[in-house]
Amino acid sequence: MDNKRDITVLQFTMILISTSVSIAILGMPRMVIDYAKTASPTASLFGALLILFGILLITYLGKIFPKQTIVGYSELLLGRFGKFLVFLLAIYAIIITGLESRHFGEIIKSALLTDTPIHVSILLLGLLFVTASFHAPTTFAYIHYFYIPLTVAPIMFILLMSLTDVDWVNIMPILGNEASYYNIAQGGLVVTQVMQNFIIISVIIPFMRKPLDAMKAGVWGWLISALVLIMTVSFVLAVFGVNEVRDMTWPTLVLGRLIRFPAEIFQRIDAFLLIAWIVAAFTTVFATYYFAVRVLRELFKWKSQVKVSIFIYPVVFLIALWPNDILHLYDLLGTYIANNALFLTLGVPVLLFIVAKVKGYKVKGGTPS
Amino acid sequence: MRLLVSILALLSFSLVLTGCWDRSEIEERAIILGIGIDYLTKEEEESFTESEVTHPEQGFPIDTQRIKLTVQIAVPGRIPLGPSGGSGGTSEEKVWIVEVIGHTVDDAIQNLQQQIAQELYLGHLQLVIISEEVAKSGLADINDFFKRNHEARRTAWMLVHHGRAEEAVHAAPPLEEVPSLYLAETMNNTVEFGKFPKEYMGFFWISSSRSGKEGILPHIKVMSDGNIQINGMAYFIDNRMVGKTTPLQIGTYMSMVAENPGGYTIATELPNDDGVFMYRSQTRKSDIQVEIKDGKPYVHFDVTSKGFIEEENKVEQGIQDDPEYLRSLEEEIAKVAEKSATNLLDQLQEDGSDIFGIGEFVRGKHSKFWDEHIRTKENWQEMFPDIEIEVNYNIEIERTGIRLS
Repeated sequence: MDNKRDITVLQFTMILISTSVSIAILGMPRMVIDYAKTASPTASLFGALLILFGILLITYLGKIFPKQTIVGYSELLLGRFGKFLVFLLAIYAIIITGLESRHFGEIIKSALLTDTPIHVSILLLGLLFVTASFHAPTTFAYIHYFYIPLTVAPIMFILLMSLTDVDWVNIMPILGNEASYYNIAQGGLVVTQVMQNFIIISVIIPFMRKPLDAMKAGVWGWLISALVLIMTVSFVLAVFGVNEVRDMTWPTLVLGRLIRFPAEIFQRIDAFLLIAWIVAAFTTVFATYYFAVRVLRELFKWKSQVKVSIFIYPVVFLIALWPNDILHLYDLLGTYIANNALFLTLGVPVLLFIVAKVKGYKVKGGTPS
Repeated sequence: MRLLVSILALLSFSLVLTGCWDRSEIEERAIILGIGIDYLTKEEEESFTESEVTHPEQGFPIDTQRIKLTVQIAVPGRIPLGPSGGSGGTSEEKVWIVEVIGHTVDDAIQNLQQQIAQELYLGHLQLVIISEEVAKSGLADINDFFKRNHEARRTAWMLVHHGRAEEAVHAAPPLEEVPSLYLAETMNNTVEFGKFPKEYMGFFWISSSRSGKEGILPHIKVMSDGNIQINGMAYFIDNRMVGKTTPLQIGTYMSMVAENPGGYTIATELPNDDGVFMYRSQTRKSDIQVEIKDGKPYVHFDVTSKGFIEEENKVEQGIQDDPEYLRSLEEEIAKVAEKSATNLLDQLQEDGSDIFGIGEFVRGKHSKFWDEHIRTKENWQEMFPDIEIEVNYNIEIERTGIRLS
């Protein structure tokens, strides 16, 4: 397996975007609006800012250790405990891959292929990301780079098409009716949870052509993905209003069904949204799974990435079968896993950054050859 | 090992075929185009026998008023594509109209499926026609079925019919192949011509879910030749229809919420003249100001309407290239429009239905007042009849057609 260092800044930005624009885009507006009501755009911005903080720390660490992944430098900084933390991150990535696979299956089953057994959809998605995870980081970057136009563009297009149907009173007042700051923070955390998979870039940075540019690329990636997510929340809210959104399982999907293309060139444009979403779903689970594979392989010094990728898939599949029903799934995803994982995905970078500072590591500058 | 791998590889090819689980042939589908929803008439109620499709013989778990669905189904293979040849056949033969009774929408649909060979498909649903009787007793339960179903489109039209909904489903305009498609086309065109705001099913649900707004639906009437006339606007409180407006008031409503283009023509006479001018509005702007005075919202609509003169009739003096004349005409039109708006507002306040979404303005722009005094939709519905609303029209006649005098 060749581990060339030739991921460009642009590719790196794309990886970050396609990881953040995920399966959750269909249901996320509901979860944010449930908590933050009309303050949701503000809340989303707050939630996204937390992620920016995480991205800055991770890319800064990447600049200090331009030749090492998070596995390498966490061991260097914290020894065994560092290894343990990274192991936990890998476990998180496996669980989230499993649950998001199920999430994907549920939407396919309810809205698209009602007769196809859900196991088959999950398994096929699994087959894709398992085989895609056989390869080197450069290939990983290429795949994300290739799919970006197929995800972000249709989603943005549909959002902009809905402009004729928005009623801006729906997003006023921007601090919510009777919404406490606590509620706004809770709503914001939903966005943070959706974007927390940014952590996967910590295994990609050392394979960049210029790891020192990671921070710039990270900020750009954050800017675009945050824009897409905040726009999704705002437009869904502006079209539907608080009460209607809370009534729908996947408001963004319904938005795609509600709006009409001028001149009726296409009768339904939700098909575009669904295609974009399937690709977005794939890129997200692929990213988290790839992270788990790379970390576990490096952590336990296993040689064959192919075997790692094949052998941890059954665990992912079992986790996908874990939730009893869709409500249980959302409960697990939101309340238990994604919420608590924030301590890891944001906590680990903070801890590592502090330790690195205390131990006096500095950015050396120049490109490593 | 090699054998095992190749067997696995061969088996994995079958994964490519999983798409076949959801294949569905067009001939195997019964495409529902329109649904009419009525309560049973007395005779039907008496002659009715329970069919136990969705419930055991003890009867339906709750006591509900039974509904009758009149369903228009396209018969696959019988809708001719393109211009129809001489073979003809009236529209009644091209589509299939079935009546079925049930306790709820889904119960009725299941009863229907029980007697139809093809799978019922709602993906092309265009119309849901509801009798006034059903609309007045509330749509919440009916909406649930269409909201939950993943096939039904939110761009379908929900219409309120004055009499029995089945009449409207049976109505067959002579030139049309498929009545439901024709009716849906009519409704879509009315939006384009400015005859009705864009309130299809999805938007009706949105409007009626909002805290400070109520929904509206088109109110239709079947004419003797099988055409359908938009006879006004049915307005709601929550999901319950409480009244209807006249057709011209649709235009008034649309101008007040600045829904463009304007499609209504208003007849005005000048005080010192016996004739009448027909003014057609085209584009409108509406500035809605909400102020809180003495613990009550005070609302001011400032509507600017631009349009042209479509006709003059029995007018003595005429316009005569005189801009001043137009200005005085504008004032008169504004008076008529203001009168119409005041009437509409009086009627709505009496019935307590805030279809303008004034409550939303209060919630959004005076959130402090809302949080302190209103908070819920119920409270707003209580307050709406008592608030003061003023309407001011500003008419601008920009053209007089291709005749100047």
